[in-house]
Amino acid sequence: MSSQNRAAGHSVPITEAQVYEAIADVLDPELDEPLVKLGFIDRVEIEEQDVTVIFKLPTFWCAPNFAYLMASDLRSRLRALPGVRSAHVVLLDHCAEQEVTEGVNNDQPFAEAFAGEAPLDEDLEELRLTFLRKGFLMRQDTLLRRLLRAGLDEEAILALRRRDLVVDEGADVALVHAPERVVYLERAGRNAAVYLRKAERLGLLQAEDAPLIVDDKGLAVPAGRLRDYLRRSRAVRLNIIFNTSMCTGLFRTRYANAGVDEAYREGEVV
Amino acid sequence: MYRTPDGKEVFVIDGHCHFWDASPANQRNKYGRGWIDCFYDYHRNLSPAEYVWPLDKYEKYSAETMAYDFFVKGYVDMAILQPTYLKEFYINGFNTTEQDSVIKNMFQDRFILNGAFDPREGEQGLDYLRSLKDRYDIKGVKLYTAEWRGSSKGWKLDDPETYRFYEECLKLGITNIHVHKGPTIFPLTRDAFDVSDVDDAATEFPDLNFIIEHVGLPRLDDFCWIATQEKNVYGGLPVALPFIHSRPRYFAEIMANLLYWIGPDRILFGSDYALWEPKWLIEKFWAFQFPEDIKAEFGVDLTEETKRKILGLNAARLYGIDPNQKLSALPAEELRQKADERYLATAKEAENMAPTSVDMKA
Repeated sequence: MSSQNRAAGHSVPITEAQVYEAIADVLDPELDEPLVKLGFIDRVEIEEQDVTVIFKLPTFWCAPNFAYLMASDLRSRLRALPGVRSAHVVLLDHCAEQEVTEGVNNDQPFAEAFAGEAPLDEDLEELRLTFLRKGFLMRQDTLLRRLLRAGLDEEAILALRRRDLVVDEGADVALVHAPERVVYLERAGRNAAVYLRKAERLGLLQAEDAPLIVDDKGLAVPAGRLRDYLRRSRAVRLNIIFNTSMCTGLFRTRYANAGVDEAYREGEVV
Repeated sequence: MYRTPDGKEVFVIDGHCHFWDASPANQRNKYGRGWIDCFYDYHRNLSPAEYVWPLDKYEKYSAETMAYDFFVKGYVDMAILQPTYLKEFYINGFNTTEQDSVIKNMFQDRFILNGAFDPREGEQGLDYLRSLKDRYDIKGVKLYTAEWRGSSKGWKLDDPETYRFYEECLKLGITNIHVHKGPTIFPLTRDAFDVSDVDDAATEFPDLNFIIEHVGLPRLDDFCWIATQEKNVYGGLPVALPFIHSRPRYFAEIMANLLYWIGPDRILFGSDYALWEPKWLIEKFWAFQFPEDIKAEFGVDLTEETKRKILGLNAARLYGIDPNQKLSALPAEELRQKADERYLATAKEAENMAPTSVDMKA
């Protein structure tokens, strides 16, 4: 549609709501939460077909490679939005705001934008994958603890298959068809849905009869080892909670009236 | 000394504190401003409201204020000064060993003064380390592997250059190597606070103690793994401990993990003053109990004996201090009075410690 409009010399205006929808799934990789939900989007500026997203982070020092990842994700979502002629992203209040802003808007790879400061082999995709794995393990830890609390024992849990988990994300409910019974988990649907989505992006749990609980490399937990496994997965979750809680708290403190959502995940489990 | 609600005496060493100067006059550039602003946000974010300072006091506080907060108000018997140089950000440094020595000299019996080294300085750095030993008889160093220097944005604990400095430490009798491994700020790319470089260094130098400050958060799992393997690796609680106020359940999970993996003998209390004040941390820590389900899952408990170890006995062992002898030798009342007088005489304005109008709610 946009090319026709352009050819005709007039165009449909882009709305702020469209922009927010387009960037809704851009995550802070370390916190595993969307930037929009975290309140990190300062504002959106639209002039006809030219769109700029301005964002900010919890501290002046947030790691520039993470900032770069978020900025380039934002920009690629904007460019994919029909009707957009130019897309810009601006990072505010940051020790490397200039390098990030200019680099991303000029389509430079991270290592080039920080020439002389970043090693050339710095691979943002690898970083993204690392945090995808951690996000997967954290959601799994939450799911596992809910299953244990619901009374399933280790044997029953490790026997579960992908098809045994049915999720209603809207109602935030998960149903688990265990061998002897159906377990109904309230306030567990969103977590379980994210678990499955992350598994899919990692190429895991593809088959209906795949074990529901596998590690981030796809290996099943050996019989009798669930307790050990849980200690590791808890630590992964504690790290992410540390980041989330520290960063959202710092963000609130730094920008006192920012519309940051309650992003703590502690209440979901344990 | 902390006196428990039921009258027991607890010897307290604050394993981590700073006497810094981040005043605008000492700020070299925007990074100096950004550094202290970020610290101030940490302070406001995790302190109880009544312990939040005004920014100008936070930027630079007097020795009298610090002594008062520790020894009069805050139950601390001894405290370890950990320098952070940051000379690229601050004209005279943020809190160098030399800056910290000012308060050490005022309260000789109360402070342990640590030094620092930077392996990128080579021979000159080794000379500087020797001079710190000569001047201050240091027993420990604080290392900050992510510190900027020219075009370098950091270094590693297991670099060969760093090993030369450990060897020199051994020769000089500097046995406690405190390392900042904390939240990701600063390092441009490869995570300079990654804990994996602790492993080889600790294996190669079994006679040195490596105290990992902030217990490696947010890499707690990696830290626990390494600390379980290496008996000379310790965990310092700064930054983890203040969560005891805002998120007690989360704090319980961290402590249970630490006790399960590394045990009660290798965990050290530290306030990270002036990030947070020791008084409320000590009170809350002593009162803290694990939730039953966490006790059951990990099979560990935060007993009085464990709390005593963490609050002082572990650090005393590392620094060769006999708590009983020290307690009786410390002129407690006299010191209190002295700190009190100095404080009252020279830092009246600091009494106006009413919390600023910080909006702590979401």
